[in-house]
Amino acid sequence: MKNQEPMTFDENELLRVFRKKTTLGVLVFFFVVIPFLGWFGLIDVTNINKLGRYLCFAIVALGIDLLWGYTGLLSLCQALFFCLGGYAMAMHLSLPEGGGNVRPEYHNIPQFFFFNNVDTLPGWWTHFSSLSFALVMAILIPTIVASLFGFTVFRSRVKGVYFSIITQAVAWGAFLLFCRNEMLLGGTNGLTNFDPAFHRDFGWVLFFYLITVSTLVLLFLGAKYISGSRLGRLLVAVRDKEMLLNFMAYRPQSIKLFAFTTAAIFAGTGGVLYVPQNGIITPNIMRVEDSIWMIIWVALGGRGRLWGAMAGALLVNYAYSITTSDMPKTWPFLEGGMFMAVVLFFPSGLVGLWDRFEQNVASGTRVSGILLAMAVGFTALLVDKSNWGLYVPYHLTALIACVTMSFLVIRSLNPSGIVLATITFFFGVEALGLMPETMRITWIGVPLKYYILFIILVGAGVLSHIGVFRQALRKYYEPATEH
Amino acid sequence: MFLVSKNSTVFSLLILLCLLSSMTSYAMTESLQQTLINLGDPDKNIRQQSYGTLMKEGDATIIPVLEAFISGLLENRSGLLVIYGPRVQVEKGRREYPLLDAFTGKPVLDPTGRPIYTENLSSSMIRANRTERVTVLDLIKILSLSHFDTEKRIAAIVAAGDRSDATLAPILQKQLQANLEKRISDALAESLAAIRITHGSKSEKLQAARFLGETGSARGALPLRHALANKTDNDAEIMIAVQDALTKIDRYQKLIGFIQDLFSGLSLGSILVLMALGLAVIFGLMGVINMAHGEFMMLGAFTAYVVSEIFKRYLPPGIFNYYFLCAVPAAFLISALAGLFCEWALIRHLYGRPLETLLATWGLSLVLIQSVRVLFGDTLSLTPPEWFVGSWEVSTDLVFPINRLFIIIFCALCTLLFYMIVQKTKLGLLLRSTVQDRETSSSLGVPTRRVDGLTFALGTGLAGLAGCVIPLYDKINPSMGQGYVVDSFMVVVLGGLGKLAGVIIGGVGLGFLTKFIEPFLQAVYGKALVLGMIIVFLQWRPAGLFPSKGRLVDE
Repeated sequence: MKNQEPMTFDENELLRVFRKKTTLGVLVFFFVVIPFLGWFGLIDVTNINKLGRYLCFAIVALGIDLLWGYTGLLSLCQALFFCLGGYAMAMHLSLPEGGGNVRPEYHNIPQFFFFNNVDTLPGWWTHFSSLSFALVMAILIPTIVASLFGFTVFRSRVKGVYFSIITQAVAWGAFLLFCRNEMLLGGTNGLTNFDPAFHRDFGWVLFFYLITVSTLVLLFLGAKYISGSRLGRLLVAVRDKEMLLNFMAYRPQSIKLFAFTTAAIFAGTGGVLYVPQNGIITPNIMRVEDSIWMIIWVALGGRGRLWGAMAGALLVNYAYSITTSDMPKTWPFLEGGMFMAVVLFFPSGLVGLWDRFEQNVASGTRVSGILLAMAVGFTALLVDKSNWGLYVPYHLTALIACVTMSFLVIRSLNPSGIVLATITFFFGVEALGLMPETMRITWIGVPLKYYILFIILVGAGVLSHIGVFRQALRKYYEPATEH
Repeated sequence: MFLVSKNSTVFSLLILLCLLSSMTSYAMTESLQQTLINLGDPDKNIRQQSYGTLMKEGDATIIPVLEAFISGLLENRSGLLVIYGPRVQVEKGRREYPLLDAFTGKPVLDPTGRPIYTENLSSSMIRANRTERVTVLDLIKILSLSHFDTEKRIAAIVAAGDRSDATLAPILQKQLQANLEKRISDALAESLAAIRITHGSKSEKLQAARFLGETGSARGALPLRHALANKTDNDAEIMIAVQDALTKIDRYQKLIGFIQDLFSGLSLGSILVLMALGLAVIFGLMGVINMAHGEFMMLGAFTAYVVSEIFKRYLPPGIFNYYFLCAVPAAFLISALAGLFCEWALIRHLYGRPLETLLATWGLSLVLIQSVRVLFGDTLSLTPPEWFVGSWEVSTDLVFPINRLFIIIFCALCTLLFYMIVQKTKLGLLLRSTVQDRETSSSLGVPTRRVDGLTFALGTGLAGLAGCVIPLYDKINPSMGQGYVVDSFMVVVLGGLGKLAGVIIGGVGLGFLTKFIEPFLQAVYGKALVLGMIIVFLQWRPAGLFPSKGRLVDE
């Protein structure tokens, strides 16, 4: 972790062009390709909605990366800030002014009041009928809570693991509090009965999706600016040598407080955007488990690299959504295994894989095909299979793209590419619905295909560690040098 | 535990009796038998007559028959009066009534000598009409006062007092003069006083008020309050006496409330201490945050479950109680071995990266929880040994459940043992030296890596021990450890890592704090308040009660 710099300045012209192109490609993909495919009905509304929600998680992940990856503070209460933002927004949305579904038989206020024997809207609730107030509060409340808590905790020099334990306790306490009905926030059932159009109508879904993407981009730019500035270097300094900063007359407490509050604001923003797209918010999302779950996005994506955090959030959540529907009982094993594997074998996360990829780029390998194929593979995850009868060419293109990409990745990368390729190929085939029926035979609750995937992955890992095979691979995969 | 063990055997026997009371056999005189058969006679006069006889001659042996009679579970099978006993599971999914001989309480046997079961009530049940039911109920009330089952007898006596049933007072008075077991005579005296405070003469009332005030039981306060509120007497002297007695009771109840809180705080705290000791020593030694610590506790609990199942299935029922003696070392061993393995496979590679051990052990905990869930299913409960059933009534209303008492003593012993290991053994010496200065110890030949492994196993073994006593008072489920782990981390934060005493004081303190706040606020707000207090406390002592002292500016 310590020798990992947040920014790598590379003189390589090829790399600079490549990065520029990739960024542009990603922007086009999210801002143009997805909305248009949705417009033509190729991507189902629910899938755009899901992507929108996962992008909200990416916003949270950005904040966590600033806090954990850069400043080295592992906070286990980010889900709480996410929920604080979310609840403020949800309060507005559950009132009639926000499109909430209220009924005369429940006195025209959110239904849960009725079941708590409250007939009139409490005074502090009434303010949330205005959207601007709710939005301000959604940001202000996490900010205030984070800065108050951060101030006391950092002032008493609670550090490292102690900090994590205390934040964990705070998340837990808050969860217990929000579960109470007396809080008048819906108890364990949370707040719901918003306008269902928000997560069903194409127009609204696209609106929230685009807002989320734009916010993500803006916050990413903000975070990038911070991390590149003098302040960003101070954050890293706190992580690596806090004592030294003290001796140089800086105040690490203030820097930590800044990072903590910023992360809370990011989380709150994510919550605000998440609630209308999800349609419900319950205290269950603020449990300690969920905060740790958020940490794993960043850990898997790669700490200390902003885009890694975002990519991690998307990847982990898609993996979750696919595997839980396939084999709910096995998911905890996978999740637990993921935590352990990331920490043991991939401490640098996805970023590590990508960095090797970029090395190939810098040495002149042509990779545009791979990237294009990756984009198509990702789109394949999103598209609506029921509409495919009309778009057979697309179907074929996606298949070809998947195969080509896997081939190209294997061709151009060192053995770790096999891992990347297998996973992408696997999900691509899955998303295309081309998985043969025999692959769905289960043994102790796990479909056959996962065993095969597992064997390939482990096999690749083992083979790449055997000296002879490694030599042979190196010779074969020698990057093409002609340019 | 040793003080009360005799008491507890008596108790557990009583509970057993209570459970089996419907099966208890009893003998009944011939004339009563005939009278009972007459209860089902179609002739109204004969029925009336038999009631009269029962009133005069009835004793406690006819209670089960009368109870069966009013609930319609009595049948005259061609001269043989039978009771339909409580339904039992005959085979999976089928529950049937056993038939019991009304006169002896023993199961009715068929010619081959097997007890008879029947699936449905027959149509020829003897049924009571409304007036008869009232009569019989009254009869039962009177007869229960001398029930052969002590628990039921006390319950009847208490009920008589609570209802202030003046008609029963002479019977109570008469029984009080007989030489009875202390528990019974205490209940009798109290009930009698409770009745007299409403129905007695002036001198009786004064005496009763004084008596209730001295006993100080919460039950005695009710008739007193009633008397005060209803102003049944305008006699100032009585009123003052009642008032006096109430004040006394209040004072006494407050005191025992305090002691009760102290006790439950201690029993919660002692488990936390056992958990936190392991956590603290693992963190202190290796800088590893073991999020899976609660799961090692869960492993201990499930080991106890497995041991009890083995005893239940493969060993004679007579020695079932002794499963606990096997469960304790088994729980320690299993948790310790699991800990040793996890340390070797996972934790070993993560030394010096505390935040990452937090994530990895969290993953480990998910895997452990799910494995246990797949193997055993969700919530389970296991029968605690009979020794731990019951409670020890130290004084009026001050009751210590024996299982909690045992847990406190058990945890204290384990803590002491752990302390001795750390202070007196070779491993302890190596452990302390490694905690103090890893490099120097290593250079002096201490096998620090092996010490790490053994210490981790020791810590998880302690958690396993904590786990194996939890089924004594609670159900177990695979995710039970998660509730304890946050609390035990708080104990570590509160106590600091410098000395074991910090953990002990922290654990017991947190237990007390939680239990003292809970009565004033609800459990949830209590928890939140405790968390707030800890954060404030850290302002004052950032490194806990007993910080480890070092010369370095930074850790």
